[in-house]
Amino acid sequence: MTTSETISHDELQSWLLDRIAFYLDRPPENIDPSVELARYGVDSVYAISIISDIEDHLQVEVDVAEARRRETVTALTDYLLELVA
Amino acid sequence: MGGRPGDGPLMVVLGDSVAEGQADPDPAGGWLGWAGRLAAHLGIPRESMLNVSDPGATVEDVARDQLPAVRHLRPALVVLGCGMNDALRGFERPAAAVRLDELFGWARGRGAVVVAIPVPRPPLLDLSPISQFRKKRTVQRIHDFNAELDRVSRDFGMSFPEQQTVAKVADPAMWSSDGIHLNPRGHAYVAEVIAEIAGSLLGERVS
Repeated sequence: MTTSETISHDELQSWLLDRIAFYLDRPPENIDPSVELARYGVDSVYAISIISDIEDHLQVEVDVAEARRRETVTALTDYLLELVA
Repeated sequence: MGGRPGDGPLMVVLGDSVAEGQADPDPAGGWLGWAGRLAAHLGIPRESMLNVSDPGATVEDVARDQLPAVRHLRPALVVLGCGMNDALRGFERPAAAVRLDELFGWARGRGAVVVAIPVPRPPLLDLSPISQFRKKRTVQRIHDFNAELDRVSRDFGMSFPEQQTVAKVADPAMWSSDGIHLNPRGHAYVAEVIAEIAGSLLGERVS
């Protein structure tokens, strides 16, 4: 996809849940977007892989430290939508 | 190299960790690096070289933090080695151009010749989990920074290394395992290429 296309909050959030579920090796429906990612065991190594996927998906460079300050999938989605807006 | 006062360093080095010489230890202690090797090529004694490089420095850092320490000097040769940190973090091209003009303007104003080290493509881009997008953008920024170095070199009547010599530094055999610092072989190669250019600029200057 390219940044010229608009992406909805739901669409991005569900894509993120899929990616995170893939790295954690658990079903996406078991991840609550309002629960801190650290509680699911998302550590710095997972975070770098997830952010790398995000960069290719959204075609934008994401500051790792900034992104990690968003502790839930919902907060991360909001942050990313701001970045590509 | 006549026409300069008898004291003060003959050669000044400004830049980042690679300019500092990291990953190329000097048997005598500290770092050798392309800077130390270049001084040796040119017959400049180590005590006549001043290296004020700092790890992590961008062109902005060099102009702001390193230039004031050497501004009063009157070296014959200034070597600038920065741009990798700019390329990795992202930079504004017009702002970088202003800083490069400032650095070259100072060196030329002091009567020195100045050579910029081109930014190579670091193997780090292929070693770390990095998105294709970021890799592409970083390579583009390396290209842009080198274009600015080429531009400022020409604007101030200096030479910039040919593209084919720069490309050769992409060889992983010239890098340490971290993929971001040159190994002794890489430093030796850069020193050789730069010695040729610096030697010819210094020769033209005294003739």
